[in-house]
Order: sequence, then structure tokens, then C-alpha cells
Amino acid sequence: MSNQHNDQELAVTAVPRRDPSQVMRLARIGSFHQTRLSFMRNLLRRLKSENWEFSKPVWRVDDIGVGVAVFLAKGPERTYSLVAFANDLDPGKRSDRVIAEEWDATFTLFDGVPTEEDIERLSKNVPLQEAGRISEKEISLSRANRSVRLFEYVRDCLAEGKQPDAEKLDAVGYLMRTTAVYGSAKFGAIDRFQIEDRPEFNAPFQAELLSVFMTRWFTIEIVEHLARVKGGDKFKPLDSAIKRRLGVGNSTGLGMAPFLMNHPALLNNWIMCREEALARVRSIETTNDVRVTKFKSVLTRSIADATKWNTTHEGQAVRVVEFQEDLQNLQNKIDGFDFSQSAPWDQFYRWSESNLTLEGQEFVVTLLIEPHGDLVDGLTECMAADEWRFFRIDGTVSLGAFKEFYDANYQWVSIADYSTKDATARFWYASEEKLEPRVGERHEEEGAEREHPLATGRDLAAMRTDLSSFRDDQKLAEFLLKHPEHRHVVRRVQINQVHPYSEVQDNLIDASMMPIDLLRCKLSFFGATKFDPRSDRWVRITMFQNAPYPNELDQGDFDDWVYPTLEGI
Amino acid sequence: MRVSIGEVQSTVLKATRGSYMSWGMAEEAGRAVAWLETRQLPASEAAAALVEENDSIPMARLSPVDPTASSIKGEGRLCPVLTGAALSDANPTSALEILAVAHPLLLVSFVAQIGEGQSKDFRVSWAEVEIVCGVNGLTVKGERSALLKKHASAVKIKYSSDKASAIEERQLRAEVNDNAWELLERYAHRTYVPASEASRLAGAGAGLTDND
Repeated sequence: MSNQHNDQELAVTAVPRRDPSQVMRLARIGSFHQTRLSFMRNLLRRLKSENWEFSKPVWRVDDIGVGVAVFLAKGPERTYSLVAFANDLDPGKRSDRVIAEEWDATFTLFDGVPTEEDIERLSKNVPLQEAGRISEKEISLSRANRSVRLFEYVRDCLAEGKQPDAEKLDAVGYLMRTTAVYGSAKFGAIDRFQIEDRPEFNAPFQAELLSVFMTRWFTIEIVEHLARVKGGDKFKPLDSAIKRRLGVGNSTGLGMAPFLMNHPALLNNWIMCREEALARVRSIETTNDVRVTKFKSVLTRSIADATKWNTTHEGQAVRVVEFQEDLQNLQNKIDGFDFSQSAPWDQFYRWSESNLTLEGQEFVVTLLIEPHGDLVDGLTECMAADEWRFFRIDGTVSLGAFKEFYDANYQWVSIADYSTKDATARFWYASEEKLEPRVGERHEEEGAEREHPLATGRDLAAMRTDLSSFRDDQKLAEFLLKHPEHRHVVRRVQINQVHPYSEVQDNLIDASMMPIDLLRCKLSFFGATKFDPRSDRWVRITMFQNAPYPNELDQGDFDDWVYPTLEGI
Repeated sequence: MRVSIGEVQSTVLKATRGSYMSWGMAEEAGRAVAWLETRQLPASEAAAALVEENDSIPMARLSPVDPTASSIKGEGRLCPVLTGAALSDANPTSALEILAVAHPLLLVSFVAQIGEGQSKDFRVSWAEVEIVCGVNGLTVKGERSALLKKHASAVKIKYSSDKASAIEERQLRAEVNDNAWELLERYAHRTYVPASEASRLAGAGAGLTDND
């Protein structure tokens, strides 16, 4: 969806979308929480409304937990299969890191139902992950490790016919955690452009998240399988209420950060839809009891859930405490709040801006959107983007017009003085060892000449300096012919002309830059919860925690699954 | 080597960057080659030869002097990506020729892009090759060896009265000559930074294990 389209269709709200200069700062996007527009929630709404059917036709796992399993997801038009390879991993080899070479389980999402030949081929490649090859029949490639804290404990409880202790479960939140989920075209997988026309995969990351949703099912099956082997007759399966508390963990490093920078139109559409949803809610003149009740219920449940947000990261731990205070302030505000006044949600939002931390303010965005599914859920159809549509540079524009747009919209570039060491302290690169994105120290380490083009602020400033020696009546094409080194940022500026939220408006190579802010932003759109930074560039999260399992989708209304019910707490 | 289109795009991006292009220009190369490969044209092979021939040569020496001229030339043999991008930026509206250009196949996606933008079809020809491309798709006449010609003394580009025929189905995969793919990967490798013990620990931001 182009931005022009957005403006025609969407710009009817009394309260405008928040300005990009307010939204697109690292500190704020690094405080985003999931919303009902998040991709996990969108996926489950679809699976439920279309009555997807799930089955497990293949389970060939031996007594030590080695083997293969196939899980099917059958939609209205197509069937997808999660092919899982279970492994008996030497504990010494268990690492969360992308640099590992062996895992407890490996997975691929197969397009259709695999034959025995397909399974045979995949068995020789999927367990190798990056060192193997998959084909255009496969959509994703991923792996997961068991939680050392929880997996064996749960297995042993079930083997003895007991249910695990809820508090212990909550302290971790998952039996297994994925360490990478690769999609589009990676390691030979099918390209996204070849499946994006399928309605089920049009919204971003639906295939990858379908694989994770089914991986969660696998984690239950494998722990119960091993408990059954160990306990024999004494074995009891996991109680369904307890099972709900378990999601799939994920450890995310820097791999995600360049993605946001390399997909400016996509980033814009994600943010713009979220901002549009907020603007629509803030523009409501009068509300009703149903919405207010829902709003209050979600807040109450979130207050309880926030007590289970564990992190050992110093900075985040402080933020979690502040967030809990924010939630209490919110509760107090609501208790005396007159929802019959005009534009109540906007009043509420305005109050949050001057009374809550960024973490709390952005959670208010989540809360405000929540009871308004009828107004905002359709926006999820606008969250995909075809980057190639906006790739071509228009070299026929005059430099006068180009400079005018730049000077009006890129003031953020001058927040840093790029001649200082601190402002250029970092550089983004890909490591030779694992071809994974890394952040290096420019003035201390080798390799800065190979840096990737993520130093947007510095590069934009350099472009602007060179522009000054050209006349306003000259064409952009003339500038680019003389300065091909500025081509990547010229493209960014032109993309920004129709995608106002395409730029993270901060210096991404500053000494104080926190890469986890970029990760948090992306993960919040996925629908992740329980952000637990392990450092400034690596974060652990939980996915699908409290979600229904595939066989529960037809039971009741689960749309607000992300906020656990109070009975469960 | 049987690879995904995304792998073509990212490998050519890195290989051209590793050889002689700026990031923004390498983006053009990656897109151009991926575009051609989805239309069954052996562009990865042309790109591999190109990065080897132009290794470490400054872009200015491979660029057209005046891309708005009716007869476009450079100091020496032109790079088809730099020339194609300059042509796309200039957005020509009359017939032109490009003199002494390497691997002319790689110009085609740029001309098609111009055609799409103008809602027109263009005819691109060199030696025994004739291609119509633009808003209506792509029609190719020419043997593989002619398409992969290393050098054309003149490439003629003009509006086409014949319409290009739409491609029925895009390629799901690219079949790339093994030697060419290895060469591209070798150049792509130059964009990677070798690990040191410190960067291994610090660069990704955590210790080596995190069993939880």
C-alpha cells in the first residue's frame, strides 16, 4: 500500500497521526508493545475465522527423543506442514546463539504435504540449518533448544503423574526457544514474492509465525512423549490451563536490526498502521460501556501479567518497575475517569503523555487500540509492502525541490556532530564467520571500511554537504552521476517522501545507541511479549504465550489471548 | 547452482559492492540481476564476469560522460549497471545509442524500468540480439551466447512499435553456472569482516552460551 493511498483512505480522523519526529526515535520505538495489529494476533484471528484444521499424521520419535514428526495446518485453499526433526543433543552443545551447529530440534515449514522422499531430503538438510539447502517447496527454516531450567523438570513431573508448579513455569514461560527462524529465500527457501499473493501470507511474517505456532505444539508433544517413556503408566499429560502459560521462547540478536533499515517502505507501513489505529481511537467522540469494560478488563489483566515480566537486564529491570508503577497510575486514573466526556480516549492518551514513561505511554497505545477491533483490524491488510515499487530513483526532479523536502523532513540528521568520535563510534557489518550482522567499535576494531549502509544519519549529512555545491535548477540525475556514493541515501529520501515513517530518526552509529531498541520495535510488531534483554544487543522474548493451541481455536473467543485471564494467574 | 531469487539479489549486491560499486549502485546491480533471472535470462553469469573485469576500478571511469546525449559514451568501456542507472535517472524520451558497453544484457532491466515508468515499450538491440521490454513485459530474440556477449560496440535503444509479450510465469529459481556463482560469492566475501575473539564475544552482544 502506498502512502498516497493511505492519505486518501485514512486521513479522515479528527486527531491526526502522531508526527514521525515524535514516533521514530529509538527510545520510543524501543518501548513498543504488541497490539491487536501484531502479526501473531492477526494470524490466529485468520486461523480461527477460516476454521483451519490441524493434525499430526507423522510421529516417528524414538525413546530417547530422536526422530521426525509432521504437523499439518489445513486452510481453505492450501495445506502447510511443519516438518520437525527431534534430536538428543549433548547438553554441552546447547547454545542460544546463532553460531551453534547443533540443536535440540530443527524445523521447516513445507508448502503442502511432504512425501517420504521429501522427508528423506529434508532430513539431510534441515538439521544442518545454515549448512544445508532447502528448496522452493519450503517456506521457512528454524531450530529450537530446550530450556535447561524447565524442560527436564516438566518431563519429570509428568512422568510421575504430577503437574508442574505454575510459578516455575511462569519464571521461564516456555519449554523450548527458537534461536533463528529464517524465511523468504534464505538458504534456498521460496521467495516471498512467490507466495505473497496467497491471502494467508499477505500480511508480514505470517508463514514464519505459523511455523512458530506449530513449533509450540511440538514442544508439548515432545515433552509429553519423553515423560511417557520415562513414567510409563504413571504418566499424565499437561493440564490444558497450565499448558496455556507456555509459549515459545526466542533469542534474537542483531540479525533483525538491519532488516528494518533495509525495508523502509515496510517499516513505514507497520508504524503508519499502528499510528492510524491510535488516531482513529483518539478521534472517537463518544464511547460506550462495552468498550470501556473491555479496556478496563485488559488493563486489570495486564497489571497481573506484568508481575511475571522477569528480566535480569539492569536497564530493563528499572523500566519494568517503572512500567508496573505506570500501570498502577493508569488504574488510578481510570477509577476516577469520566468516560462519558467528549473524546475520552484522546483525553486519556494526552494524560499519559505527561504522566507516564515511554514504556507506559506506548502501552497506552496498545490498550486504547484493544477494544476497537472493528475500527482497526482491517489495517493489518495494509502492513505488507513491495519495496521494489519504490526502488527506482526519480532523477528528473530538480535539486531545489529535493533539498527543500530534505531540509524540511530530515532535521533529525543534525542531532549529531558526525565529526566527533562518539557520534561515529560504531559500525554495522556482517561477520565472515557466520555472515551475521554485528556491531563493531569503529575506532578500536578493524573492518570499518566494510561497513554496511546503516549509518544513515552520517551518510545523509555527507550527501547534504555535497548537495550544497550544486545549483537548485540542476537535476538529481546530475548529482547522482557525480556522486554515486550517495545513491543509497538519495533513495531513502525519495522513499520517505511517500513513507513518512520510513526512517528511524536517530544516529545508529552513536556510542550510546542501543541496538535492542530496533529489535524490540520489530518484535513488538510480531506480537512478542516479556522482553528480556540479555545485553544491549540481544533480547529474549516469548511468543504465543497464553495463546490457544491449534486444537483449541474453535473453543470460545480467544482474540484477547495475549492478556491472560485472571483465573490463570 | 540452483538458488532462490533472493539469494541472487543479495549475492550480486554484495559481490558488486565487494568489487567496485557504492552500496546504492550495488543495490541497482542486485535488483537488475534478480529481475533478469526471474525472466530466465542468465544475468548472474554476466554479473560475475563484470565484477571480475572491473575489480577495484573507480566508478567514475566506468560511467557515461553524459547520459542525456543521443550517443552515450564513457572514457573507456562502460559498466552496464552504472550506465543503466544513469539512463534510468535521466529518463530518456528519444532514441539513443550506447557505445562500447560491457555485458549489455545487464542494461535491459533498466530500460524495462524506464518503459514501465513511461507506460511504453522499448526496443534494445545489439549484435544478434533484439529485446522488446517495458510496460507490456519482455520479448527476447537472441541466442544465449549473443545475450551473454561480453562487449557491445553499440547498443541501440528506441521506442518499439511492437508490443512486448507478457511473461507467462516467472521463474521460481535461478540456475546459475557453478563457476559464476563461486566467483560472485568470492567477491561477496569481501564485504564480510573477519572475526576476532573480541568481536566474536562483543559483536553479537552476549557470551557463547546461554542455557536457560
